[in-house]
Amino acid sequence: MEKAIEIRGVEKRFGQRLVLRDVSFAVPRGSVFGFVGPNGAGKTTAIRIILGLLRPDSGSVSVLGLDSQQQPIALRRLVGYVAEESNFYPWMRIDELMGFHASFYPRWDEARARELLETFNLHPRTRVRELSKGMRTQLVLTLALAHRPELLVLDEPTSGLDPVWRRRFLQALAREATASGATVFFSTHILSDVERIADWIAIIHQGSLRVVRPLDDLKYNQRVIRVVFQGSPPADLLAAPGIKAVERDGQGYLITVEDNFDAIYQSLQKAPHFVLEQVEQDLENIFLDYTGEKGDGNA
Amino acid sequence: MLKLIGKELREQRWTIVIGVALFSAVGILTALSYGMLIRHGENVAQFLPPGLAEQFAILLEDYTYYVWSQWHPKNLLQMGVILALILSAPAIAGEVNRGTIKYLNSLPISPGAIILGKAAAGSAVLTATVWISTMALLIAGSAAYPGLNWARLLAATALTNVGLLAVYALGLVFSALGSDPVKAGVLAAAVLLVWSAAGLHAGTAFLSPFWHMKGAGLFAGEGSFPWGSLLLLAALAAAAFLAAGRILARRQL
Repeated sequence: MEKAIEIRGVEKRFGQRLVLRDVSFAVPRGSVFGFVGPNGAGKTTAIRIILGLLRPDSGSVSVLGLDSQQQPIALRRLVGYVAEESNFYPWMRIDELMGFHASFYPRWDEARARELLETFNLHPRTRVRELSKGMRTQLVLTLALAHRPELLVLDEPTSGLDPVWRRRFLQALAREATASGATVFFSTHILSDVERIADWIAIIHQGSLRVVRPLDDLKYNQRVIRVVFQGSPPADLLAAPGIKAVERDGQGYLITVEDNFDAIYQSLQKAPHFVLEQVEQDLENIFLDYTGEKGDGNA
Repeated sequence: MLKLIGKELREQRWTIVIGVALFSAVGILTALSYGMLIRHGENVAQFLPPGLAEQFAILLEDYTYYVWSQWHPKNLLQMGVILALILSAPAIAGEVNRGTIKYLNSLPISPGAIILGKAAAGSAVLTATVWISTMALLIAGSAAYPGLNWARLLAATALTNVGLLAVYALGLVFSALGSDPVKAGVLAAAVLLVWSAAGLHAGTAFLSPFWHMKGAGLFAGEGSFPWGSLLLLAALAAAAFLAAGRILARRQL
């Protein structure tokens, strides 16, 4: 697997607070990678470290083959970055801002920038201070895409957007990512955004990475099985590899599986049972399961 | 880099216009005041105590000395310090305050280059204001009354200019440390005020940067150019610019 981003053992403290603890994962090239976690999980800190804007206390980050601490400027030339809050100079017109921005990117494509502005219905003579939040987000995406980046990094890009603007933004992002073949790495706490466009997911909670997998793979394997055995269950069955948690539910068992779903299900079918069924798991349930925030106490 | 300098100049355009106009007006009035005092000096002197009247007479003996004494150590230096702090205090702290520093930092440009761009624009504004107003003073002064020594006054202007760049750089250090432009300006002014106290005593005057900025050496003794002062002020400016760059890099904004 060719990697666009590789993070190895990254830790970061702010004072006494450990914000990232031993975070390691890789983002495959060409993927749309959703970096998911609740507010304060460490997503923005991780992104700032990836872009070389923050120094980690330990560990290393490689982006498109460049060390983010040793070559941050070369790295940022290849990356399109959409920050959570983009405060531009309010007095600048859109075309002035684009001219300013373009001067830092040798691969800036003016024709592409104009095309994106047209797509988003942004008038070049409009001043930044006159833009709504939705329009501003689209301007940021224009700036991030117009230098034809190999990697697009977006930090909570749809945060604060109403559903209409969010849908528009995600459609544009998905369309542009597909057209350009660029890797997209975006952080969010909105799970429907991930389900809509991501093909990989990483869940981070309280600075620790909980899971990194292809989204389909996670949704397929991360399931709950409810089983009521005839008599006692075979001793080794409930300890099979891939079983994440087992809960007693009256006469039955709730088995949370995170891997090897097919093999585990077949083993359970072979054991004498009264009931054997799958409990539907949506991404929200999976997320809550990994973050230990389930209201029913399932951690 | 050029676009960054252009952005800075665009943001400071009114400071440039007002600064040049104000400095030039004061410079011209300073030069023209000599002719007026020459014409009405006796009337003025009769109201002064004997010691002061003597000094007043000495001051009017040399046109160049008069212009220098009223322009470089007084108006140009004092207004220049205020302008330097007005330009430098918001340079970084203002970007932090309005949130634009995050955008600037996310661009493929190092913190050192950001400081360099800011410093280049600020220094250009300051230098232009100092020289345009001094030239206005020299032209108006020469037209109104003969005998002005341009070379000495231009040499003194160079010293004051470099000194003001050092003041600007010091303001930039405080700007890079904080997020409130007003606090940055006040702190830099406080440091300069304390520093200037050295100039109150003849024995310690050389420790004050303002003493070096005045270019008094040009009008005392043999009147040679004070290269030591120029180098010292240039070194101060360079050290402060470097420090501002390092501070910004460490802050990881």
